[in-house]
Amino acid sequence: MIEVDHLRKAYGPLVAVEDASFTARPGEIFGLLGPNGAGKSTTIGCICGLLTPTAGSIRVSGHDVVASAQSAKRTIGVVPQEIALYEDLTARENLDYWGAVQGLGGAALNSAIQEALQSTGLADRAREPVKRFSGGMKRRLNFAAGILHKPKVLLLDEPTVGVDPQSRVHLLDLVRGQAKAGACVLYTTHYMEEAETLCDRLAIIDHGRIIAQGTLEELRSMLGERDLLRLTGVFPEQAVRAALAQEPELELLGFEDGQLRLALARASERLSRLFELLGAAGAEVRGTTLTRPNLESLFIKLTGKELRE
Amino acid sequence: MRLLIASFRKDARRALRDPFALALWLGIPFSILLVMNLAFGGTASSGPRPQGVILIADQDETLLSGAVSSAFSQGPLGEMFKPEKTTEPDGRARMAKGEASALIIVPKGFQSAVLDNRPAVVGLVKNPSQSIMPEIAGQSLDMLAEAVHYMHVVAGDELKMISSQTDQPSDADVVKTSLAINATVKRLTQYLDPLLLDLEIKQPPKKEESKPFNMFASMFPGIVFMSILFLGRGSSDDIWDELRWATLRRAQSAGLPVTAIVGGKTLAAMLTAALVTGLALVLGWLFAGVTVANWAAALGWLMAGAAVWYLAMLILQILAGARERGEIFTSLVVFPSMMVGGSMFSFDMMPESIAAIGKLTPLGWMVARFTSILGGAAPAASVLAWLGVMAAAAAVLFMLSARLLRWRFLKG
Repeated sequence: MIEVDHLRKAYGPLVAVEDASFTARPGEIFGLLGPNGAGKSTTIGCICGLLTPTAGSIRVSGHDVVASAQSAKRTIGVVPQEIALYEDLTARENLDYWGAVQGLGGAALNSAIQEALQSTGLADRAREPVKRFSGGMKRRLNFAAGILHKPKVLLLDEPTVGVDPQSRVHLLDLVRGQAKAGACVLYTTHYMEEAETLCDRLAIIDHGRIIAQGTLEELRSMLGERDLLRLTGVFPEQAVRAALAQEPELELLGFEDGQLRLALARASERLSRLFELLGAAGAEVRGTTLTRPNLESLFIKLTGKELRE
Repeated sequence: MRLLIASFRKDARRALRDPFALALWLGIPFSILLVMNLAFGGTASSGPRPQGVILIADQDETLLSGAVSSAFSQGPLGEMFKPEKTTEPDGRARMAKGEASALIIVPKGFQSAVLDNRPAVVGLVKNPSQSIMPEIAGQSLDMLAEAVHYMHVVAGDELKMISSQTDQPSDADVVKTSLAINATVKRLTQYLDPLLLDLEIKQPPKKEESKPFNMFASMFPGIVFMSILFLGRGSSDDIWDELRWATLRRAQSAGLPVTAIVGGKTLAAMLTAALVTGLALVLGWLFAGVTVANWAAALGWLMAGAAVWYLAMLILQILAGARERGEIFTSLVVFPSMMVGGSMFSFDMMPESIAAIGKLTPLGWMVARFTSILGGAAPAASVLAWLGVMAAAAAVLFMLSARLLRWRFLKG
């Protein structure tokens, strides 16, 4: 289990994570969804003991990561965002090293290596140097190196970045397998689809702050099953606000220069009526983007920007 | 310990995976040694002592002129020169062809001129393309002329009497001459007996036979340490790959202490040094006559040196903060050290003042002691004491590098 309580991490005046709290339970995949630079890797760094929190506390498998760092680390497996492998060693030699570092030895290590190579589909390439591997193979080996010791807590920091679709599917299956085996998985990503299909519960993070968290259903309900409509053009504010106020089941999310963001039910059916209203108010619509309710639309609703921005 | 072994195994595997680097660490220093050997010569003791041909054109053909020829065929001069009798025209022709070191022309009337105390001119023609042998011939001739002068002063009359004999001297003449020489000696004895000079004869202490200069053997210890410097520099450079691959951070997040990381790398550098320099020792011993009095001490010293230099280079790399700057920082230490520390030029080849300074540098200190260990001149107690100093230096550098690595790159 991972228990993060009011975590704060600052580098001088720069605050990377502010007041983050969440709990990830054994057997579940907990996603941290946010754009690049949102604070996901910093949060993982604090959990695995690489970074010292400025404030707040983190407990992993019941151990405080600062006070009982070694006890906590023994239960953690980390798959970093970088492909942290020795390119000049073979796949087997890499696993031999990472397994030994994680406390395995002798027959247990050999058995774990064999199992990891089989599960990642690399058994037939075990004796090849990693530098000859494709990006996807390296990613799978990177994953294998983190699960050799069957950790209770698995931290995955964007493990599918730059991976081909086939390897991605393979990797996501491996992650599900770990959760199914009882591990508590913390998975960071900026791929919305990945978070939607993989995670049991999610926290959306932006600028170091968790802005929403819950199950996928809970998060979707925050949008109220409404579509997200983004209009670009020229909008006289007062007249437009007055016109839209007459419409039922419509929420004005944002009114910026040349851009209008609306949440409304059955948006596609109501577009013509909406254009009439806006036209009567003196607005000129030049572009329309309709987004079905999903994590991205929730993110847009909460932050006013797209996840990939 | 388990983590240290895991770290060492990984780094040793990686080091041995790159035989090209190993070959370079050994090959570059020994290529330099080869070039130096070709440029400045090999062992001076090898080959026969040079012998010059000296041509003697004896136009007088008397007892005294014959003595000149004999002088060049006896004693030390006889070892240096091979006298050959010739005529003046033939001698000059051979000298023109450069077939001899010198031509001595003893003119007709030489003996009578000497006995009559008249000037006598002995001609000497030197070979201009040679420098040493003709000079020796000239100086030998000067000494001979001086000896003849003193002989004339002491026993001129007697020699004159002998030389005046056309035939073999009779027994009576020999007795008469002997008595005359005896009288001369007695006359001189009153000045010499009692001895005016108190001559003390001492047996000089037997000089240790000076060994001939062997450039390979002289440069070998420094060259081996040059390998260690290159190895330390090359191995420490690996820290940049580790940082680029994020393997250090992953290891740290898995609970591997920084001391195990640095310790594993240091042990791997020592193992590599043992292989590279051990091979150098064997090759030097087998093919170049390098003395290895104590293999274990020599190898131990080299491994200790490798640990110290690896850690020193690692500290420089960490302080540099980036690979390119690291290369500059380490070069600034490696190359000046090699120049004065006995690697590029052995201390035997340096002016004494520079050699004295060089031996004070860390590299020079190590090379000088390694030379002693190789030659068996260092007592076991001294070797142990020196190894203690090395171990202390390595321990300090180890703690410093581990702290710096954590502070510079792995601090949370």
